[in-house]
Amino acid sequence: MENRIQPLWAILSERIYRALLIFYPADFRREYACLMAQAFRDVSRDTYRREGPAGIALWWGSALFDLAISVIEQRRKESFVMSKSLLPAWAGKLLIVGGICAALSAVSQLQPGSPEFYTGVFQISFLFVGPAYLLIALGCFGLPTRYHAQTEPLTRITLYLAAVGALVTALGVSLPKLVAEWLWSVGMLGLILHVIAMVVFGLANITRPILPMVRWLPLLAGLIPFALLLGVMGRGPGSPNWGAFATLLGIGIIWLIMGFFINRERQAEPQPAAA
Amino acid sequence: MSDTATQPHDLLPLTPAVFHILLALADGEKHGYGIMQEIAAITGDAVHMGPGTLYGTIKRMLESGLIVETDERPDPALDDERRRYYRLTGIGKRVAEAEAARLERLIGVARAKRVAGGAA
Repeated sequence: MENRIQPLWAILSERIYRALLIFYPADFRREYACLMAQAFRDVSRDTYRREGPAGIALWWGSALFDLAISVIEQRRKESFVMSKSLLPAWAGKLLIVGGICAALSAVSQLQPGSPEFYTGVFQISFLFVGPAYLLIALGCFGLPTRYHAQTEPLTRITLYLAAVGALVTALGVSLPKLVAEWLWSVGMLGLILHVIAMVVFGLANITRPILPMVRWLPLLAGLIPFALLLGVMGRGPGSPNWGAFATLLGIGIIWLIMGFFINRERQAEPQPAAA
Repeated sequence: MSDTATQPHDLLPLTPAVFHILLALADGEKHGYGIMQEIAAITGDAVHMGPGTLYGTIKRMLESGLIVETDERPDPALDDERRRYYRLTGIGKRVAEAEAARLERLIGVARAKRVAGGAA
């Protein structure tokens, strides 16, 4: 039996993977979550030995794809339906995964060079942008229903606008190659709408917080446009885009933390007794 | 599902994931990661099964009686006791043989129609 001290990256990586297993049905999770996490850890360890950090990045991409497909399969067996009541219930989880994907996609902006010739890290990490904002949009749509009693009309409107902005961003960054290049600009407008809506949501959240522990968090979104502006202004022809990096990372972290607390609050709610 | 109630042909054709796992277990019991490694090896690294697909498929195969969990350990001193080992059942072995025969017949057809290498 192995009894080695694991490096920090391996511990964090496994914890994130374990957290994502929450998407499986409870029965499946009880039976197989530990075994899946153990297999994930074994593959990570061997991949790192053979291929280093680049291999781990590719393994993560592959593991996320595998996870998404198998979650759908297991949920389908439970006659899973994304109903109106389920979307609010899943808002926290959607925001967590969306936040992680948005944060991961930020790495794409650290590769120097012209976007015309982006390859490697850019291509891998940019795959996360579309799914990230789609999940964030679904999470934002779920929140006003879930916290209807605690929210004022302004809060609800800003969350819906943040959701629309995220949805437009998701479509805008995913479709240009397939439909038309101008959709990219529409996507960027969606991102601006999303950030502005987050700031206003943050202001409304201070006066009547739906989550007292994170009431200031959405306000941090107000700093994001400045990061983007500084990045665009200060960017040289071959330099990484630090502004866009900060924007994607900032939005990702904010929704990740929001989702975490929303999810924790739900777990603390009393569950109905079994019939 | 019992060995007597179900005929191997009732379960054909198998999905690639099920057939790969049956092949991986054909020469002895293995744990989950061992199965993943064996599948990568027998497919020349063309197939890397992820944990979700692996355990989703294992769950189905346990339910249909193709494999069972086993308490045997190759060497308990060297192994993690939390691991679960799986082995083929009698029906599992017969289903794997039937699927291999089915694929062999298909290859024969492909050769006859000159879409695969080798003479018919």
